[in-house]
Amino acid sequence: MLSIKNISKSFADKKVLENISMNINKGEIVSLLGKSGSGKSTLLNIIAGFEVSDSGSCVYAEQTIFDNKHFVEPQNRNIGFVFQNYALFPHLSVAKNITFGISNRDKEYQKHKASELLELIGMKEMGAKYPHQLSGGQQQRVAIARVLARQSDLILFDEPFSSIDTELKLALIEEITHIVRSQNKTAIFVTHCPREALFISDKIAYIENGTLAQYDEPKELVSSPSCMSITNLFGKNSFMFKEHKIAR
Amino acid sequence: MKARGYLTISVIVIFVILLPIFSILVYSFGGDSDTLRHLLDTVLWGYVYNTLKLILYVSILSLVFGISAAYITTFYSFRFDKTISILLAMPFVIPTYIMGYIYSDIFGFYGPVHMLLKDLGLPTKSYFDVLHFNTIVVILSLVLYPYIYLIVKSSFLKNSTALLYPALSLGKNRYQLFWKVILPLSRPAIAGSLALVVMEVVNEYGAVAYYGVDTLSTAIFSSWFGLNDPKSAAFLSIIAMSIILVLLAVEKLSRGGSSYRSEPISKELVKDELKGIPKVLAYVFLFIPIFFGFVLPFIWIVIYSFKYATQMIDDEFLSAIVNSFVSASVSALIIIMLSFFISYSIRISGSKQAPYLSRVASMGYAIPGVVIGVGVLTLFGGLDSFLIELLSLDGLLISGTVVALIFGYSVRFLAVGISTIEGSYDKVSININKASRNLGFGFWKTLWSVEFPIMKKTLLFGFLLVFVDVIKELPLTLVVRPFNYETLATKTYDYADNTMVQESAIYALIIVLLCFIPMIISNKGD
Repeated sequence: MLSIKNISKSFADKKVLENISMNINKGEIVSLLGKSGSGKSTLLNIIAGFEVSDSGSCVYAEQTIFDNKHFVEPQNRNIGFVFQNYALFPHLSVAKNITFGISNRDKEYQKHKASELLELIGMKEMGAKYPHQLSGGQQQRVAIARVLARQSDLILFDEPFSSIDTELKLALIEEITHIVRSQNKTAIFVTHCPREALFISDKIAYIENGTLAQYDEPKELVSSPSCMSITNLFGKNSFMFKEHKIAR
Repeated sequence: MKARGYLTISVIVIFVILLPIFSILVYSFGGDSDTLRHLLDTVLWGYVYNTLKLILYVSILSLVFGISAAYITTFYSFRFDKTISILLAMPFVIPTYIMGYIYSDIFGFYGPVHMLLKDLGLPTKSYFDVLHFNTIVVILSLVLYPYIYLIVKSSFLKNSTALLYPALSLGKNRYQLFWKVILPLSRPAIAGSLALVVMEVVNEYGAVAYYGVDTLSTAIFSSWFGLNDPKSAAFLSIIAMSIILVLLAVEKLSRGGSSYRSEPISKELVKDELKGIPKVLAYVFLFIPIFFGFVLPFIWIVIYSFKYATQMIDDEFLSAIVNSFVSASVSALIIIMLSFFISYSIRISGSKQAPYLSRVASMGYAIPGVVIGVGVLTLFGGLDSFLIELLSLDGLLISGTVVALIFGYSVRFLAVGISTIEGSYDKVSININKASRNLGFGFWKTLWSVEFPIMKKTLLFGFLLVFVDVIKELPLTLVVRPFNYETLATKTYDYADNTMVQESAIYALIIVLLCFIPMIISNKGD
């Protein structure tokens, strides 16, 4: 589904990513976990096309989206992106936000799609509202619906739960992972929270100082951590992993 | 095309816009002239001295008016304080040259004040040498202090709400808070607004010429039109530019590595109520700039506009209005479109060096209008000569046309467009743009479908600001305009220059009324 090879990126003299390689299969949910400044958001931006890597390549849906010769512009990649602050268009209604990416399709299709997705995210009656009239959780769901409308098979989430109240967070995480799985989408979540990563992921990629320290299933990171920082990170959260396994 | 490609287009556009400035640089060092040597031996240093003296005196007086007014209206409450706050910004609407003409009329030898004192049998002659350096200092200060008042007031408000409660909790009172924290933190605002005042002083032509004060601005004019020596004009332009650039650099260096940022918090500042003598003193102090900077000149303009309306409203008047509207509308539209494109390409480029580009593009605002005028004529004069020779044509092709004039306005006022748009962009997350591109929209489609609707109020406001600036602009228009092409500003100048100050009132009235528009919109906060 997505294969990245040897991606490196520097800003001025600072190396942010160094030889990152990983494969993601269709339908998988992967978390990019790491401390602030570890390079995980940069990797996400490179996959989306908002940043250009210094070297390396990426193949998505059997098409090379960048290497040292090719670069597919972000608007032509059909990879969904859900931003940390949602980035809804303030001048458009909820329904228009959802159909923004399919505005080249006929009106009937757009109307049908908006209503279908509004129902999916549980906001059936809110199509006429504007972003500023919504709560943070509602804006988050609209941002996801907007991406789903484009029928992107891969959705990238940049710290999607960081602005949500702790009380609402767990419910929203469950809801969003449910939407992603029910639509059979592949997803990459950027997070600095190990609990979130354990809760939502099929695989976790732990990035430390721009390098991929370990890329494995959650149970492997907990039981066989490759470095001390992962041990320290999951030592405290291993009970969470057990809870998560029971829940799933 | 990638974002970098659009940034390259912006670089090319900015290079073209700045060509007149480069052409002055090249031209001024390209040779010698008798006039220039004569100027250096005789009056040049007097012009420089006068310009620096004017900058110093106007800066001091504007700082006194601006900072005091900002302090009183930010930290104290009193009756009519909101109305007074708005009125304090109103002198902005009256261009300096119009203010100069008005005061020469009011306090001049045959003006109403002189005549009244004469009727009362009081001695008058010694009081009324109104065409004097000090009068110009007061007039420029009255018109220009609102720059300092508005910008510093905004900084006071932001820093006070952020730091009032921490300072109070650390045992400091409001007086200590102001002197030890708020005022030092407002230094960038004070310096920034003062820089605008200095630029306006160096740019000033109409009033200083009328009052017979020889500055670099008047010298450039005399060299070009009086002595017919473009080389000397270009050389003097370099000196005028250098004064501004040196002053800006000194301020920048003196800041060192200090940081002046504070995070605003959403608490409203609780003001102290003024009572007793301090309240009376505050009213008297604030009355001075409001009355002399706005009320009195505005009343004068209205009275004489009506008095001479039937005599002055003729084809010439209508033609000046049409010319002003057309040149200002076209210039403002071009400037806002260029500013939007440049700001947008910088915004999406992701380059850390790209924001410097907007500073380079904004250089024109720091350069006096007369200097840009000389640059435009030098550039297009050279281009005309080349084309005439190449195509065997006659006459002026580009210089001396409205195209050259609009190009000159673009050089001078691109900064106004860019700063207005970038100010708004600071509040709009770049993720909005990324989201659009992620959803399949390219550069132009995102610009049109997302950025334009979000920014349209800012673009309209920017358009109005540039429109008004162009309507007011006198020195650049005087230098670059085609023969017999009159605008509201040039007609006001012409009448005043021909000792028909009162007759010029109706032209001034139109300019002032147009200047009200952005003031009203910004006061509404829309």
